[in-house]
Amino acid sequence: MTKPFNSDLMQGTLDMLILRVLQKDSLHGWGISQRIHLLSEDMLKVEEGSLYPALYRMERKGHIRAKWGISELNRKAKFYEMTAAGRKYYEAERKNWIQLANATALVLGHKFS
Amino acid sequence: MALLKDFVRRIKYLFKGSRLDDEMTDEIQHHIEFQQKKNLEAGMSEKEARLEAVRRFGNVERIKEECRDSWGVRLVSDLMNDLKLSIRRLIRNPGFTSVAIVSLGIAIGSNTAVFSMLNSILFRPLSVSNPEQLREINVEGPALRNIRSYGISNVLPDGRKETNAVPHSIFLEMQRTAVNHADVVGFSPIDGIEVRAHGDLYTGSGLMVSGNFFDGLGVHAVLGRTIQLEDDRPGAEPVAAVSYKYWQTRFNGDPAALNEIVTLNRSSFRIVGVLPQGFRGPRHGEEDDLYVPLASLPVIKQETSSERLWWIWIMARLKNESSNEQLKASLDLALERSISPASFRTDEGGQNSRLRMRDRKSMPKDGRVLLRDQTDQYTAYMRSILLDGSGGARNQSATMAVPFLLMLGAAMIVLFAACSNLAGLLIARTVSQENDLATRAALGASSLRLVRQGMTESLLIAILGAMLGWLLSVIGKGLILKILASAGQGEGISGENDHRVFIFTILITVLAAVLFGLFPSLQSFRINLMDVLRARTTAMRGWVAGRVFVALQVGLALFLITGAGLLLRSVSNIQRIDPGFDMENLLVFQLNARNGGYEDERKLDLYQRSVAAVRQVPGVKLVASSDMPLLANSSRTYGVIQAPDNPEFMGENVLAMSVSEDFFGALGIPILSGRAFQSTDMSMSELVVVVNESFGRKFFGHANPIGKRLTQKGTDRVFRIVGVCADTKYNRIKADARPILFVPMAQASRVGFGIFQAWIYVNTDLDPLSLVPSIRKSMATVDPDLPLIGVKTQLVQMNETIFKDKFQAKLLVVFASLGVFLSCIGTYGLMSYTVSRRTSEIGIRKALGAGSTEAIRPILKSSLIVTCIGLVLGIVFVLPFGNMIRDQLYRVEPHDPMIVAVAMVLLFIVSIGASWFPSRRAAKISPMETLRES
Repeated sequence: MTKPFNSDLMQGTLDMLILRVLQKDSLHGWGISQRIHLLSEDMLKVEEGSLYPALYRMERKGHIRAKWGISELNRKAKFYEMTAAGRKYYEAERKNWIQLANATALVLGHKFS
Repeated sequence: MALLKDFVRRIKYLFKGSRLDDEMTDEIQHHIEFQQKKNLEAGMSEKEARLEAVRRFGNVERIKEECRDSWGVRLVSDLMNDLKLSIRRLIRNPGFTSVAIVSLGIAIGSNTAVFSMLNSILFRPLSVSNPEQLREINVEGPALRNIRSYGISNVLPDGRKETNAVPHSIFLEMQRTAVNHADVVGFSPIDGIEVRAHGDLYTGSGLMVSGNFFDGLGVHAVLGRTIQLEDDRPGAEPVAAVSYKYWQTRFNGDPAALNEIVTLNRSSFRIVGVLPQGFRGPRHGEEDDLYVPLASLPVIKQETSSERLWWIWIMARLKNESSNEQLKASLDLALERSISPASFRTDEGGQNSRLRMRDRKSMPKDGRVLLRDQTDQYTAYMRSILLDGSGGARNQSATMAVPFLLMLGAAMIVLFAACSNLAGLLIARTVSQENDLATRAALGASSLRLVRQGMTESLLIAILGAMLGWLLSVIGKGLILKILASAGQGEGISGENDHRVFIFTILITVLAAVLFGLFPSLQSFRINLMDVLRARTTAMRGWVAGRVFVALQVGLALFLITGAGLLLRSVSNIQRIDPGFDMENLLVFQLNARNGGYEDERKLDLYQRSVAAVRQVPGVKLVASSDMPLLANSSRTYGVIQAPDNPEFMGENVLAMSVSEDFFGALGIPILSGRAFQSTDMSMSELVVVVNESFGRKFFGHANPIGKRLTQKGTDRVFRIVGVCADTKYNRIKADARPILFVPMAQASRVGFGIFQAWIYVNTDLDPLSLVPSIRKSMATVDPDLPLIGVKTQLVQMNETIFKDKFQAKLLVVFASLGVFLSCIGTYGLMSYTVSRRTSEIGIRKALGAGSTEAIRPILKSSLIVTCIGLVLGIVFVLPFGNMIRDQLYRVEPHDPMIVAVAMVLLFIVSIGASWFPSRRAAKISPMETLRES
């Protein structure tokens, strides 16, 4: 197992990852960070210092919206969910990213499966 | 849309900021709890788990700040911080704050008050549609000195005369010739008319108007109709339109006012319409209540319209496609066609005063020459003058312009002084706060933040100053209106603040505040932090600027004080003028026999009986009457008088007046030789006259005038001089003594004076006004219906004519005081700053053994230098601008050395005073403390 990335993700990338994990469920901040951790097979770890400002920024842009709900800790917590605009943004970004990643991989002499 | 949402969120944050912050804290707490739970599950102890979770999360406050930032509310929270900090800083420096705010308040307040009032006097347009199309029409020509006019006449600086009224025949011709270019409308004021309505009797004011007057001006009735062409015909039913205000006050706005009857000078008029609110009449600064057709001249004034009577004031509404030149050409054509020698006064002297050589020379060579009748040059050179009529007929623009310019200049100077004061203060202060700025910069405040902070503070000062200014302008205007009202003036001047003016002055001051607040904080970009922090004494930035501002202020204050001094001296000179007769113990009122329906010789009889009746009142010493008022800006000219005993003298027009027997006694005018008039000077006896000293000197040199004969050119009248009286003033207190001819009232109509009104003079040792009730009672025995017009003492009458001079002087004194006050503040501010900058220098001096006086010396010296520079600047200002007000001054030179010197000394003392307190602070500086501090 390789060492998890602890470095700051690029801003656009973090947004994309957040949107990805919010695709089906609405999650609170902790949930989001755990889900990314999980989906990346423990490779990516989201810094709290980046996560919350990113959430506020995305909420401001209208890609996600917040709702109050009850968390597993049995207490009030803020749950985020994806908006239609967020979905559109996500699809576009995802396409971009994959194209970029493929191109970069080509240059580096590696081919994705 | 997104912008709007953003904005809404920011505003929301402003009010719900703390709740949002709580939510954020809550969310973070929630995150930490999860981490804690996870840690517990991983087998940590409870305490360990919690600490690890918190540590892992990182700097909560920093993350919150970043969240706020990404949420876009950072600006708002910063602004609130700026505001809080600014308020704190302002409160911490009460001296600076109050000085700055008061300076601004004074400037904004005085400017708003003065400009608003000037605006309403000078520039307020008539409330009709498209007032810019209106023209006021005057006519000019040298022969106009010989007309009988109900209008206002001015003598132009080059000796020509202009008037705003024409005979009816000329008016009609003007309407005809100008029909393609303009609607020419006419009106004639009927001030002081006796009105009866609803059983009340009072004095009102109104206009006779031409039939096309309202339609021409574009004024439509809100109730009923206006006066129309068919109303303005002889024999038409007498109708009247009334102003909205009149309708409201006299009829409580009752529509039943229509068809009510008002009685004007005993003739009845049926009210047919109410004019719109806001229409105050066509005369600038006057308010007219009642409007009747021109055709009612005979019943209102017991007079028939004729070519001789110049009574119709004219205005015109220019048609869209026409030019001023076209209108003027057609009006000149009308003058050419319709003017006739009959329009000029010829009855008094037969062929009388033809144009004299002087007039001929003053005629412009390229002028329109009209030679319809070669033998009579009266009609020559009549031309029309077109003036802007958007503000109504004013006929005083030329004379009023200079004083208003003066006030304008004074107000602007005060505004400038306040702005420069503020600038000086801000600069001085920010420079002295360089340490503070540098420290904050070192702790990580961005330059932009620092600039914004400075701006916020300046704006706060400007806003507070504007609020104070508004308050002061309301108070100041109330005071000015009160002064005006106490002199019976100021009617029609708006008491409202003009918002445009207010906003304009605020903009200027805010601009100054922001500019000068910005300038020093901009320097924070350039500040080398280490330099500032290492050495406390930085370059004296801003100090030079501060000195320049204070010097300028001193100079401007000198300008204002000198101006105020000159005007005050002028007014006191005027008030000290001896008119040649008793003013304080003299009550005067006016009678108009026409108001009582008296005709011809019965008028003279009425006046004589009135004099006799008033004489019966206990406490009255002497009673006299005359046909002209004294010191009321009106006079009678009579001529040409020649002296057959002195054939070398060509003869000339003189001032004249018909007076009753006791005139000289009642007014206390000494008879120098010969006698006053007696009861034996009857209407059919020999024509006798009393002349004044100037008359005698002019006509007879050193010879004794008593017994000499006078003749009038063109008539066979021969007068014998029976007495010489001392020189007196006649129409104006400021005029030099001129030859005056007095004729006995009994002979007035025989010498062609005609009998119109009379002024009754009552001489008493008691308080003249206390006699008024008993005089009224006594007059009621003569005719209970005859109104006593304008009852006042002669002193009050005289003061009314010099009201403008006094008002102007008072206003300038106020401005000068403000100017001095501001320059004091400026000096004080600069010196305080200097002391604080030089604290260590003074401390070192003292440590080296200098006494308090020696320590103060450099401070005072720098203050003196600035003041002196200012005074020199001031003199440079004062000398050239002094000539501007030369016409406003009476017997004072614009550069009166005494006044300039007094003003300079005054300013000098005040400046020293203003730097005294800061210097005291310097004297108290303890050497040890200052050395330790640095």
